[in-house]
Amino acid sequence: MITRRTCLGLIALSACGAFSTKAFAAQPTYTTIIVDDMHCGSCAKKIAAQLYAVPGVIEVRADVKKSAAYVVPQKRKTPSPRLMWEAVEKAGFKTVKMIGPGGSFSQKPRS
Amino acid sequence: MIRIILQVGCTAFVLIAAMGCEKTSNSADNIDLAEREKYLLAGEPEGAEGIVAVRERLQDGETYVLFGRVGGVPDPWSPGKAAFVIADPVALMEIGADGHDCDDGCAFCKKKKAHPSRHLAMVRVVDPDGEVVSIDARKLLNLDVEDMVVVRGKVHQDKLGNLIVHADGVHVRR
Repeated sequence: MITRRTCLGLIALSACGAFSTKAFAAQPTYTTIIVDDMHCGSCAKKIAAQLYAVPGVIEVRADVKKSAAYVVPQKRKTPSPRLMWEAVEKAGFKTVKMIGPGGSFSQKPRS
Repeated sequence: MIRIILQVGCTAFVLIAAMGCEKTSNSADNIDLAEREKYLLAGEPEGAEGIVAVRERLQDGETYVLFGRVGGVPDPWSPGKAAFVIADPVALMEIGADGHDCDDGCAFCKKKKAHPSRHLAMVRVVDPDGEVVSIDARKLLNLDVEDMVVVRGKVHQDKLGNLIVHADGVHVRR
């Protein structure tokens, strides 16, 4: 028999579900790559060109002032941290730090 | 009172469940899914390059793998055909605080001005006979503007310098 308490509990559960979904969506899913001296917009685009070649990358943004690139992945996918690190190397730059869903790295990741 | 609470609770539950819904392949509307499977690649081909990068080392008629974002022009579609325009996302990037001045003799900017469409490519999905598939790309591949795609195919440059990709496979990064 469904009691008043049970109904209120069900509604509270539904509300919690909505809240946690929103909270989950709010967590950053992108990877931040701090580059050693990005220098200029052309340099940023060189790095971006290599990052876009990494499977699973949807969008790359860059901020030269912060010497940072931001990599937005496909839904439910994390581009290989190692491939992203190597992409920056292929562009002729050095990664200082990489932070994202795949982990935090200050040296080349294993995978 | 209890009935009202139950109804509200059930409605809330259904709405929350519906929040996770995404674009599905059922939006194809009578598209033969077997046709789609011929050209839509589940896995991404290796060695993707940007349109500008391919252009710089192009050997006409060779097979390349290119990444690009659907769009770059007001209407990137060819109605009734599996053909669409993609743009090199790097060329479309807005860099934060780059302080870049195109009047300072930048080689990149000079190239861009000389050939405004150098960051664009026309993708034509072709069948094994080399004919463009006569199904709208939006239906065949479930594509939309801004979708990031990786296309594999032979690349040609026409007399006007436009890049044409005769693609035998398209992967959508979604």
